[in-house]
Amino acid sequence: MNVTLGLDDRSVPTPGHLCVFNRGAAELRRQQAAFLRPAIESEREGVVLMGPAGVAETLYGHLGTDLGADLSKRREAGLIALAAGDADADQQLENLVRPIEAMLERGAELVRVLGRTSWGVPNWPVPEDFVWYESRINDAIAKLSAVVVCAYDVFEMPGPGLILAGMQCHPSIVSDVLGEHNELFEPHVRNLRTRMVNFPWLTQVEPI
Amino acid sequence: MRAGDEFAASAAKTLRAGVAVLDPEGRIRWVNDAWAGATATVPMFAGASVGIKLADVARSRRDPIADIVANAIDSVLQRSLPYFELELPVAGATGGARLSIAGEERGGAVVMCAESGAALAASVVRRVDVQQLAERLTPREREVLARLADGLDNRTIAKELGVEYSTVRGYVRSLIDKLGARSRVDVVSIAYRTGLVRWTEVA
Repeated sequence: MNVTLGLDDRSVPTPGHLCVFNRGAAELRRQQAAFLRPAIESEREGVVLMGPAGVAETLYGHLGTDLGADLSKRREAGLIALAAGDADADQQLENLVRPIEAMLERGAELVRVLGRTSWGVPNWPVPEDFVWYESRINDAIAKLSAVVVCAYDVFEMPGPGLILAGMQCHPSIVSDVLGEHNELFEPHVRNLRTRMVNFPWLTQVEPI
Repeated sequence: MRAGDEFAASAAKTLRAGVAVLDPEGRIRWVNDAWAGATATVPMFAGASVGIKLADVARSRRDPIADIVANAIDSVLQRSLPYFELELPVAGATGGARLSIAGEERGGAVVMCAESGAALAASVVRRVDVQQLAERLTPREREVLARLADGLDNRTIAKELGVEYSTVRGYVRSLIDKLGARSRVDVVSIAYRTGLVRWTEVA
């Protein structure tokens, strides 16, 4: 299935995992509305919103306002889910994947996911585990009809090492500057073994 | 030559880097005993040690770079930034230096510097007896560790081992505790560095 993103002119095959950059909340709201509008206008698509504590609720409120839609019935019907972050990256992955699976089992043809990334906030993985989570999403949704868009606020990025690591997790990217094919993408295992385990702040041990 | 000096000389040759910790009171100290005598033997910033340089930068706040560094250290200490990197121009060196500042669990900031192109320095070097470490792990924990090193998630590991998801989560938490790691990825990092798990190059 090819899915129109609404973020640029292209459509992407499912499953899809992309990163999109924003310069603050206003741009994120525009991106969210553009990406999720087709799902809200369709009876056959589900929506998952994800972020640190309280963020999914905020995204949900903005989505209803920006699209001028009452989303409560769709939420009650299980076609909109608000997923919470977790300090345990694997639990966070479960929090993301389970509602997608549930919606597909209930008959949704496609699930659109918008995740707002963050760094160093409570109940959210530490940076290296967050990169692991981002990277592992590709395998976790490999058999699911879903498109996961991860929104990165360029003003909240802590350093080039983590920006690069984050970009290496996404097969596709939405960027006027960088194009749509992410040449930096690294498969999960390679990313783990070459970049993540070498983050300079990790515990350093020497065998004796 | 003292062991610390030998280590420092070796590290200076291979890493060309210095490591210091800035505690919440603003004191800079080397991260472990091996580095204690290293300030004179690790050449950074045209002869000055990174600790001295950073202390000057943090105190003076006379130029924009100093402000950025000082603010970054403050942000890390206040936990509003988990990690910070900055490329610094360095007089007398080619290509500048990379400065990294990361939060430390004990309440300080880990400050690392490396000349451009060189490996980044270790934040905390802990010497471990691998044999002893391996003996602390149960056979099941070793099985889980090997799968973590392959990047697998708990659900996949549970399927492979024929156990519940929650059981795997328990093993992962136990591995984090036993290896003294701070995270899932750190467990893998320690496992590779110590040779607890070996891996072949991924194509």
